[in-house]
Amino acid sequence: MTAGFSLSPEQLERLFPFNFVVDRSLTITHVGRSLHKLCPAMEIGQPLDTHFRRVRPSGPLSVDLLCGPQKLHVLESLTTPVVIRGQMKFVESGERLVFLGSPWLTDPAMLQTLGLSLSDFAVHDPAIDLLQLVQLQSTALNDTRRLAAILTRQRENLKKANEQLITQTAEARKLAMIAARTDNAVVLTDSTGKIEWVNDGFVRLTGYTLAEVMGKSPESMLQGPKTDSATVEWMRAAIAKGEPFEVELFNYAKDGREYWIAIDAQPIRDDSGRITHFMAMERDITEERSSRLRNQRLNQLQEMTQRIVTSFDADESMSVSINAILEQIGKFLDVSRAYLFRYRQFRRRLSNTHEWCAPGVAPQAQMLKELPGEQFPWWTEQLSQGRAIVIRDVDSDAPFEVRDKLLRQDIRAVLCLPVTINSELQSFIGFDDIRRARTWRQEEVALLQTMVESLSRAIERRVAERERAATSQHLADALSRAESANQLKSTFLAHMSHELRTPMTAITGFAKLLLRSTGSSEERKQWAVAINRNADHLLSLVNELLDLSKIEAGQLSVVNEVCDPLAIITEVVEHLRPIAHERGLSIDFVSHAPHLTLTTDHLRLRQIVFNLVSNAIKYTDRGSVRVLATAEPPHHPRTLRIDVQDTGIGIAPEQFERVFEPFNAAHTDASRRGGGIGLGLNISRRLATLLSGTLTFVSTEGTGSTFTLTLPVRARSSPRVNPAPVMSSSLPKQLNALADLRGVRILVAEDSVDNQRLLTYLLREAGASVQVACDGQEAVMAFTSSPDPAPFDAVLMDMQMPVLDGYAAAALLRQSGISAPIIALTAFAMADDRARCLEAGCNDYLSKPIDEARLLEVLSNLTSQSHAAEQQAEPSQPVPDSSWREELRRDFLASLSPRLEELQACLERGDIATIATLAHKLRGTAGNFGLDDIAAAASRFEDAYRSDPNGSHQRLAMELAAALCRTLPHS
Amino acid sequence: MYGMVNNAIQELVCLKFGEEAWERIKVRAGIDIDVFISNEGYDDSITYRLVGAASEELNLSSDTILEAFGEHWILHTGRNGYGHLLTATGASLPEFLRNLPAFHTRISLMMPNLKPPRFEISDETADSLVLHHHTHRPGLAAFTVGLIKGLATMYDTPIAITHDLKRGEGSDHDSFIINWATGAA
Repeated sequence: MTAGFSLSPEQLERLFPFNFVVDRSLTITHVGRSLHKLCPAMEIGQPLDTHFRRVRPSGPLSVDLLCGPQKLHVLESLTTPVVIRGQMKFVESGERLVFLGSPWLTDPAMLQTLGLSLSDFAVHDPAIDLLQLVQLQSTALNDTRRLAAILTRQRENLKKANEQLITQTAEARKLAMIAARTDNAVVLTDSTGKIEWVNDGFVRLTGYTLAEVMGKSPESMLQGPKTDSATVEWMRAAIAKGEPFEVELFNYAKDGREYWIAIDAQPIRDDSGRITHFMAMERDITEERSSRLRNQRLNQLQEMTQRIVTSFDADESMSVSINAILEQIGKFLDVSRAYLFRYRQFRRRLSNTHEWCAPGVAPQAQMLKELPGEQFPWWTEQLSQGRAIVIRDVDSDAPFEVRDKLLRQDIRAVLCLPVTINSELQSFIGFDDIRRARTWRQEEVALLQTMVESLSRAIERRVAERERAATSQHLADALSRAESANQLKSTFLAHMSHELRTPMTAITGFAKLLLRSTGSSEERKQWAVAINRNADHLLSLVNELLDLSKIEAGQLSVVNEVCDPLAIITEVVEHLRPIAHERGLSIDFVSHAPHLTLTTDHLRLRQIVFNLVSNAIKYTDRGSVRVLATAEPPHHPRTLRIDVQDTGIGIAPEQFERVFEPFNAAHTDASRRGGGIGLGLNISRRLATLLSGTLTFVSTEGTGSTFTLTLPVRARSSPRVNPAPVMSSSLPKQLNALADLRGVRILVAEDSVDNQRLLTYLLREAGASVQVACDGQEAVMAFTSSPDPAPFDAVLMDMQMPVLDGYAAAALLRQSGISAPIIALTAFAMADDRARCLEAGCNDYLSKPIDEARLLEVLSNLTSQSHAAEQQAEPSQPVPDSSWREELRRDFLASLSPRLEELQACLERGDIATIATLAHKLRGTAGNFGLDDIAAAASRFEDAYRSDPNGSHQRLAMELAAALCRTLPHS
Repeated sequence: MYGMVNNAIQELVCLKFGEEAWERIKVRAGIDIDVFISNEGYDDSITYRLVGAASEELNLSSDTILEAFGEHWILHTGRNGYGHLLTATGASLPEFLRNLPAFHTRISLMMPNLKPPRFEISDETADSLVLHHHTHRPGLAAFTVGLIKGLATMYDTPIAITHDLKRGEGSDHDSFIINWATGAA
């Protein structure tokens, strides 16, 4: 070392940690610390070329080459991916070669790959610095790449921005053009609301030019007294807050024209978000708003209409007052007056019945009552035809007939809507405006008309519902009453059935015994008496029922005659005295009405008194029955009071109400006591009413009752007083001995043999000559086949005959020109029967059973004029002796037994039609022989059958059977 | 300050808070530079403004941001750009710290415009040393703490740091006593 120093091995290691030393044979003699770290396989004694190959200078490893002039040697490790570079230097006199260098690093990452750290390098080694530079270069490269990427991105952004700018510019041009040319006004203000720009639309809308409005606020130019200040305040607040807003505003143009605009204002911001401007689009919505308001108003009107109709419909009581409805509509329409007129079709009168007036408007209703419709012919005609009357301006539009009247009421405009039900004008609703003429909008009128119609329908419906409800209630009540009555009748019929069957059992039973012709004479007599007694009882039951049914049918007539009531009472008391005595009761009659007479039906009076006294006896077990007659007031009596007092069982208070009711169960119970059927009191009271009197009672249960009959005194006295009636009404009729039909030729048309015989007997007895025809056809033939043009002076024509009945026969005779009197004979005694007979051509009418006196009288009257002269000329036919009449009666009586059997057989097999035929014959004949019971029973049956041919009529058939039984000869 | 420092701040902010936050911070800092050139020196005020604006924008203290930035610089920016050099600086945290002065000496040679801090090591023991940090830039102690913490994380060595001498508080530099677990050296 020429510098006078040498390096120790340690110093060498520190300065050149990547050194190695080889000998001349290139065998490794030393490996530096850091190089060994890089190439741990290098060991001393190994040939160098087993670890490295020379990269530069190229060529094999050799001492000569390695020791050449100063060269940089680059060796590549054969065992490790490392390249070292440095220089070789002979040391120790050329015996050894030392390599001084360091690894060639191109990437800082190689440090980690090679497992090196800064400590492995000599401090002076610039390799690390080189790596740092490489790193800086790499960083710079990365920066460049990043910058390039940013530039690329920015260029793309710029390109896009440019494209957008181009588009926006085009858009802006279009918008600017639109803004300038649009019909709408466009206003651009600064952030404080001062106008910077307006378009042509603004100029057209407001009349102001841009120069006139520049720098001014829109409100100072365009708003006025009608502009809503609250809306303006709201707009100001929105502007102050920088918020967009939409609003409708009332504005004024330069020339004062008023208009509505819809403003859509938007703030315009710069890039920092600061508001720089406001842009407002302003659209003239005057028409649109008007239309919208109209629609809103119509909707409100519609809603109100529905509400009114619905509430009216829902209000069951219809308490929604018409006045309230008028008020609602009147207020809504903003009219002066709303009113309802009723129109009375029949009288053609108009009346203002309801009215609502706006505050300060004078009511008119009181002055508009009962106005004659003929004074308003046009008005009523319009409304009657269902047309609304719409008058915009009374002054110019109203018809002459009403113009002055309306103007006198200061009415300027009128709307009237008809309310028709079933196409007839019932009323009309009207609206007046006294302030101004007004246009009644067609839609409003239509809607109001619809409402009025709905209301009228609702009223109609409600009225119908009420009527229906009332009808339903009446039906329900009637049904209830019917059910109640039906129940009573069922109970009554059950009782009746028992009451009727009891005597019927005895009657039919004993009658059969009699028919067998067994038993002793005494026994047969007792049976007949039993039959008679039971038949009487049955008859009284039937009569009672008949009375009731007649009363109910209104067929019971009253024959008023002057009579002596005291005598009637006396007779009844005396008649019932034995019965009272039998029951151990005392009975008396006290009169405080001497010489009093009444004009009344004495039979009905007797019936009432008889019933009351009978009842008193029936319901009294101990004590007495007293009848008291009192004139009230005593000296000038207007009323006769008859009290029937008893000391009997009395009536429980809870029964009071039902005492006079027919078919009453309580009565039924009570009536069993006396064997009646509980109709007596009901009949008595009704009879009392018929006699213009009253029947009342007072009673204490367990103590007794007093029934009081009062009758009006119509005549104080009378020279001719009907005596007290006899007990029996079935005395034989007296023949009219004065009738004289001598020489009169009579044709008797009658199918019943019995009647033929009876009539022949009676007429011949009166001197007439008689020819018999068995039916209508024979009767007609008797005339037509006779050579004599007037073979008979009169015809007795039974109307019910086989082959040809009396009606047809009479008609034929009249058609044939026969003028002889025809007297109709019929078992039907109703008024329409008589009319029918006369219509058929009969001259007169006689009902069966035949009243002999009446028969002869009628015949005598009809034939006297035409035959008076002939009476002497015609020899009278032989008059049958009186025994012949008795013979007829006996024959008839003898026929009753087989008829009864036939009747019973028919009853058993339910052959009602045959019974009807039988009844018809009996009806027509029995009365002629004084057998009124049979005639009456037969009549009732036949009447019932005629009115209801399908009914069973069993009860009436049994009555008829009972009547026959009572009449059967007791042999 | 070299651009790479500002880049590191940008990288940290974008990573943690998004690019928009970074743009806002730049606006707030009044800096209109899209790209910092890593190897170019920028005025220190730019870095300070960025840190201040980030503190305001992110509502974090400057020290918190600086410490986070120091840690991030080691673990992301430094390691990505200088990773191998960093790791080559020392096989362990103590070795690295010992090599730190020479490392900065080399840096200063290679980056003539850089005014790098100067580090010194003293009071070395088996498990501690004192790191002296000399710099003309004020207020960067938290950044240094973040760097040391980042290195501890990189070397997976738990440490305790004590800010011993404080610049401006009776000392011309900062010093940090660093203790590590025995064996880490």
